[in-house]
Amino acid sequence: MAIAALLVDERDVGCRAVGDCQNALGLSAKGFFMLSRFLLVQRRFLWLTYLLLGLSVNSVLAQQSKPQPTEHKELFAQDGAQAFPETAWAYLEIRQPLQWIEYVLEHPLRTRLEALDQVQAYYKSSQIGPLRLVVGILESQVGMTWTDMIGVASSGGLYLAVDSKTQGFLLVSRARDGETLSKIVKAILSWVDLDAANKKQPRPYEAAEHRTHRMIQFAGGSIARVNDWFLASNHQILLTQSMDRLIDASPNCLASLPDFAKAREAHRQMAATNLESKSKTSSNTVEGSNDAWAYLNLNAVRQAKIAPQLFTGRTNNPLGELLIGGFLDSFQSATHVTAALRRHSGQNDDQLHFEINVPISETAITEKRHYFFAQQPSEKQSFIINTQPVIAHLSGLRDLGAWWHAKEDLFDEDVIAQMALADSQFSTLFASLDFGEDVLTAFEPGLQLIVAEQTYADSNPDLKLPAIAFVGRLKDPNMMKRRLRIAFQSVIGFVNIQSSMEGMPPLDLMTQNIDGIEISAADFVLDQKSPSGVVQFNLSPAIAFVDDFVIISSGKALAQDLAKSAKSQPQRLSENTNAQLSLEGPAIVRALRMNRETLIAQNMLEQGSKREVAEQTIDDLLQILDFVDRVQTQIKVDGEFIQWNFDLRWDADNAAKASPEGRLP
Amino acid sequence: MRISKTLFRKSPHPLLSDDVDPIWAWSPYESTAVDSWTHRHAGHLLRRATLGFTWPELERARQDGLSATIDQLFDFSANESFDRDMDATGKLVAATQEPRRLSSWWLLRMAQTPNSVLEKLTLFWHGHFATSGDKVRDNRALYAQNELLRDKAMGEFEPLVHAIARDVAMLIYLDTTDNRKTRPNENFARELLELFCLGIGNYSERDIQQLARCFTGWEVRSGHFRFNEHQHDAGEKELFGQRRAFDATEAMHLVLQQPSAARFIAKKLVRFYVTDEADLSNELLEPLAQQLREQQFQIEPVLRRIFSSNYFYSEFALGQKIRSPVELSLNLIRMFGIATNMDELSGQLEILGQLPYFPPNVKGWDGGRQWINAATLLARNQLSRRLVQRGTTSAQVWSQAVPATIAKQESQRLVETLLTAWLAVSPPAEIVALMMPIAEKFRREPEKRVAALFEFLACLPEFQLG
Repeated sequence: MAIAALLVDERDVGCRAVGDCQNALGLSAKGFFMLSRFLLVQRRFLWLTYLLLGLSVNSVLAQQSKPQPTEHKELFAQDGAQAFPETAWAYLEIRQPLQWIEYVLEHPLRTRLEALDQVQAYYKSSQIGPLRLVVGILESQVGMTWTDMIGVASSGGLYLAVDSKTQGFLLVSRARDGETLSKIVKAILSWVDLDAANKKQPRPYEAAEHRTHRMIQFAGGSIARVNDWFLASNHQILLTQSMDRLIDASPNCLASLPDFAKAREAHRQMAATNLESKSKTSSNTVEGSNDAWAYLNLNAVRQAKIAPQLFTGRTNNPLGELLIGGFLDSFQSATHVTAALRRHSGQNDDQLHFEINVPISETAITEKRHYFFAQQPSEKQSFIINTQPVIAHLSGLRDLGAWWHAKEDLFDEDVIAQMALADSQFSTLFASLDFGEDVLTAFEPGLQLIVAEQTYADSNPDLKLPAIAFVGRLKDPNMMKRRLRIAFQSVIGFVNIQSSMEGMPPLDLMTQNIDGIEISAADFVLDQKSPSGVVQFNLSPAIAFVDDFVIISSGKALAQDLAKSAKSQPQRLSENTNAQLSLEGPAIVRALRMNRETLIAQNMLEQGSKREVAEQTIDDLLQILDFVDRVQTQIKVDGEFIQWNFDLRWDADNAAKASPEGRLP
Repeated sequence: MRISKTLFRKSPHPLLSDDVDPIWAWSPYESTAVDSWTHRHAGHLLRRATLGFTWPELERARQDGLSATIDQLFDFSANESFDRDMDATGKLVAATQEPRRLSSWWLLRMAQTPNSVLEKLTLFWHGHFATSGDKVRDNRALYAQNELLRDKAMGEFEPLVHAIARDVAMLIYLDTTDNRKTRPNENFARELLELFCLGIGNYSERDIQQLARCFTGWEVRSGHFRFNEHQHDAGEKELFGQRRAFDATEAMHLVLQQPSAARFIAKKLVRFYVTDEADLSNELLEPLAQQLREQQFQIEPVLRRIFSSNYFYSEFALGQKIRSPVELSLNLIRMFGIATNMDELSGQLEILGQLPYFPPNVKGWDGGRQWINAATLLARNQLSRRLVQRGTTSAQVWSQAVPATIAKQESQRLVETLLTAWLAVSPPAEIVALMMPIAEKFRREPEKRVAALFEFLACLPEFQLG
């Protein structure tokens, strides 16, 4: 039989567990078959039926297997990347898949998620039942848990690629040993046989052979085993050619491609450097060698015209352009892009790190994106002003004036028209100054946005919004301070007229100058006739000047804090950091908890749910967010690469509260 | 010619309300039939009086009988917790200054309220004292008006009129804020007489002009009603033949003393709850009008009388109303226990022409046949299907809609049961016959069986009747 032929050299081991089971039950293979057929006809104890059928087929297969000596002299590759053709355009390798699975299974967040009613309902649903059954059958046949099966089958790594020539995908994994791999494959095929028998359909695969190595061909793809390598593909030729590369350890493969090899080596060095630096600075372990790494051949992607908008050099979104425009610029000329995922874990730290690297040369940067990258060495590091408690913090090296001037090259006509309209409207506030020409160019490259918690002394808005502030540096503070202050006064006056028409209390504007900090701030004048709870009460707008810093904030307290920090301890972003965004989990959760009632109302309207259900949903969401300590993303630029990285740090205290019990069903 | 109950029941032709004996019409319901209180009668009462009912509620109403069911429907105790939660939610939504979100909030309230009779009457008053968020654009004022309508819905009509005349949203909507002594604005005065209290033909143009003078100086300042004494015309006015220095309060009292006022309110209630027929005779309405006059225009006793009357359970009422889009959707939501996105529902109701808080004009929604045209009929069918298919999971919907014991019944009986519960009037026999193969086909799968029968029924013209 096909399965027996495929697994010919492991038949004894493969059937030992089945034999033991049969002996224990005192049944022959035929007996197993008859009992399972009876149960199937009765449509009772479906799980037992599948189990018995599986054992019986397994037993028969094992008995019919005959050994066939291998006569070919074969080299066998040692690196999974050797299996793939040079024409592969997308490639992913995971050195230790089991460690990632265990990371997910043992993570406290998983325990919390599984406790959710929705997840429990899903586990009990008819959708998950068949999966449980199949997993149970496979585990009983192979004699190990499904996680162990994956661990054994991919202990030498898991590799996946998409080929541009054949448009096929190829999955390759290297098992701990060929015997166990064949046992697992055999169990899967047994289940396929049983499923087909149950549905009264013919066996859905055929056996084949390639250079004495057997293959199984399904309608939608094929699988094969070469020694301790397992291969699966949806394309027959891709599969056999990959088998050849593995058998012959062929040099004509993706691993030998200079661009690929260089990128892979660069990643390994970066991971090793990271490992070393982390080891020096903390007691944490860095899973540098077990990370997941991906490679994308951009030349092939361009030729295949996949995601063409990625290479247009336009975002048509002014804010998005300001944040990541330079990163997208690098895609236009780069030959490839790589990505890596790794985790840092320790007693008090649990962190995931994801990075995207694009090779870059300074000469390739287009002029329109000069606003994004510093042009002078003195501009290479943007400032950062710290204050507490912060919800979100964005700091970046951006030249606002140059960005505004480059709009014709960056955006389409609609966006340009909108920006021109905004230019005209904002210019009104600055009297004789032009917003784009005079105001934005008055700022030094570099900006900072801060979102922070705020308190409500005299007002109590129903919807409690955090305060937000912009921090910039002025090229000529003496000239621009006065113009900005006048513009701020104009805005307050305009708001007061509008508020009066809507029955809202007025804003009272006051200016103070203390210890070199000049601050103009406006507060609502509240009395008994004032409406209560309106969203506008989140505002106490302020503008502050310290040295060459200007701070424009929706909240007076935040402006004051930032001004003090700017005076005492302005800092710079770390070297090579072009932009950095940090989100503080506990502060976000606190801000959301303050608005719990609003979130519940929102959920009720959007889901049509009853209040109790909405309360449960929001509380579950907040509890899950409790696990997040910090999310940070950075864009880094050095001479060779532009890197966009993301770090997610879990909250160790909250993680410790949830015990890592149970496993996936 | 006056006809007795026996005569009109036997008549093969559509009857005009002019032919009905008013005394008999509004007398407590009695029937010569052996079983005078069936699922059909109970369903009719719940369909008209409430915004939708579940199967257990229908079963309970049938078992309890008419009198006990009406007592239960008008029992508004033990709803404090729901009201408190919904009020808190409503205030938060009002703070967003998005009027369309207020529509979503009210729909949610209507979908979940344990006090469906009151909520439906609030919807009636909203159509009566129509005020649109398109013009008012002040969520707090709109929300406050909604609270006012609910608070005074069941009580005396005169305090409601007085309160609505001072309501900020109404003052803005009908331009009363521009009502100055030297230049009276007649908008509110005109609508008070024409649409709120008397109806066309029961006042003169001079009455409108004189009444407008009474409301001069009624203003909105800082979001609140304010009487500006300096802008009020305190001079003598001639109103309905009486000369005096009326102020607005006295003027409104005089308006409600007019004989046509009680008939006008009675007619609007009967058109909303009983029949879409536009030409209800004064004679037919007079017993209800008389009751209103004698009981200081109290609304609840009149509603109880309507729901308990011979006329309400006669062929003049059964199946004689087209469900409004709000009734159609909320009936399904409440009947099937559907949880759906209220913002999306608002959008669909806007297409169908009935978005709460956004009546088309000061007259409110015309209702009746205006709900149906070629486009809206298709959209109504799509709305019905979308609600039951997308709300929660379909299996939950169908098991909630019909208990398993009923869903597994023999086909003939199941079809009869569903027709009685879900439709106001039965379709022709040849249409009913088409349902039998559907019921047979899914005999072993109760949920699919009920779903398939609903799909069929939702496409019938009879499904549009309430």
